[in-house]
Amino acid sequence: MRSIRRIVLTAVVCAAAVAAFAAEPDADKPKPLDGKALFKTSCKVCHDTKAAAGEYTPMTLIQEQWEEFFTGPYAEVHGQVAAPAAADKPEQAALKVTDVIDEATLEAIRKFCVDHAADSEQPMTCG
Amino acid sequence: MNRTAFTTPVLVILALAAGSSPAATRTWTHQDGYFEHYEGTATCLQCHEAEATSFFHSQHYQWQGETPQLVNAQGKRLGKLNTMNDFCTNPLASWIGNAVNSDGKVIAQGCSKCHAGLGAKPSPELSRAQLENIDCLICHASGYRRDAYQDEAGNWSWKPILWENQAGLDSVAKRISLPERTMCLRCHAGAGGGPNFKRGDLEYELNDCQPEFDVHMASSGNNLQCVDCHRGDDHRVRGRGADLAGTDSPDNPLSCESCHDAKPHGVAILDRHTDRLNCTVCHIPTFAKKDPTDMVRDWSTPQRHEVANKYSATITMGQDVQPVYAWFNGKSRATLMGEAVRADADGVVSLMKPEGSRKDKTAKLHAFKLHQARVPLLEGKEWIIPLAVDEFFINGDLHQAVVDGSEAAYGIHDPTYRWIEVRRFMGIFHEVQPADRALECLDCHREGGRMDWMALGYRGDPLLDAID
Repeated sequence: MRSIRRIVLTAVVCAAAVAAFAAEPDADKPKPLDGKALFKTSCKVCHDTKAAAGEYTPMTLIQEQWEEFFTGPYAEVHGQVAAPAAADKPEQAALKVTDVIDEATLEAIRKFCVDHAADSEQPMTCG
Repeated sequence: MNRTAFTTPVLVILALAAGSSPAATRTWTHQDGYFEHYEGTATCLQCHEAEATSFFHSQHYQWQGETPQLVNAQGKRLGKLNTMNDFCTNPLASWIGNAVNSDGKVIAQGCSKCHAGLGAKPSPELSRAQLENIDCLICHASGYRRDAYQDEAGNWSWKPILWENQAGLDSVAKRISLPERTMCLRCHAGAGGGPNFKRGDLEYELNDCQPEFDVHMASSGNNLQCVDCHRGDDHRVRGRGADLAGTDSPDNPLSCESCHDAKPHGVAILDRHTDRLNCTVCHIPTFAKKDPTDMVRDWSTPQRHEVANKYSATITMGQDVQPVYAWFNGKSRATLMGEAVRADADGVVSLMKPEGSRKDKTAKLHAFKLHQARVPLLEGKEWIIPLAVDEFFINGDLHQAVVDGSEAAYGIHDPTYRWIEVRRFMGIFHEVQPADRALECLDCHREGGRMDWMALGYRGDPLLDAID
């Protein structure tokens, strides 16, 4: 009897696991952020062609370099750079880039850069 | 507490989550101790000059070669560099350079995008400059990508997109391996202007497919790499199909029998077929199973694409296409540039046609993609004219494309021309189906079956003939 219960329990847990992986995206779940669009609005402002801060596109670096950048240097460097959007708003003058790019936005940008890095299957400049 | 009840679902979850990453199984050489910085092909030549020299003489670099399988080549060295095809016609007038539309978008970069060189045209004369023009990484370095760049003098070349990121370039240049499917498919599946446009049986899907898509290359099956079959000695590739003019390995041909027995089925009635049927006939019932392929390209009627802001020929695509069948004894007849065309009985000029007939005992029926096109013909000389396509993609000026093509190919500035119908038989050898998905008897041996017996030299269905 105990072994039947064990088999049933195993089957139920397996089915739940499979269902979790195969489930349709929840209609209420927010759409994933568009990393490409966010890169354009958040990064290209300062890193476009011939920008003083240097031009950066996803294919400027390889995947390993992007991963490394987002785990450390990003916060270090951009925590000291004034957010461009604050330039004509004196009350926001103290805001840094890291203050205006939230965690979800940063993750979407990181994913876009890694997925389209110079050594990815589809390197991109982001248009 | 019994552990099984918990470990089973945990293992299922782990298996589902892990997936199969090609990177996880990838092995590279040159990771440590070979060189510090990659400084172009000169870095490779420090140790691999002999390999570079052998590659220099290969089809992949010269884009022409020996032609023992062409019945009308008369000993000429031929290949895509000096013959005309019915897709983008010929690379002479469209070698390298960004064709930019009015939106500033690059819409074409020239045929050398898929030449294993760094931008200079291949020369038949071996030189240091030519060896340094070889782009070893395009076939041997996973993750290497390049783009066309113009220098201050206006000269174009292919450079690594990481050329300003030495650390990144060094990392990529040290990931050396034999060419993997992904690397081969970047050019061979993308040829002709888009995914699977040209070959029909070489799709990006082959990079990671199921046995039902291709029994040889399926990642979950035999997982063969392209080089497992096509690798020859000294950078010479094996296998020719029916429409390659030059041959890399004439003395080392590739066929199904290179791996399989001539009578592989173990069923007498099936094995009898292999005397006159190539395996492709039954085992490739259709091609272009995922990405549609270019079946007809009419250059005489330019099409405007508003969204892409460019022009193209009128292209008719086909998906899940049934091959045509023809006899093939391993030799072909080509329509060559600078020679008067000779139309077939139906008035169509065959740019490449397999040789053989039912009476020719060395010939077998093979599966083909039959590509058709309309191309310009030089009046008086009756020579086919290639088009200079890059400018045409931008402005749609068809006449100028013909004039520039005529100039590049023949030095004729003011051609008078008309449009003719051409066709090309292209051997179909990939997207091979396992036995249970191959053709069955009634696919061919019935009224309205897929074989045109009369056209193949029979009085009718040979099975019915035998029964009668």
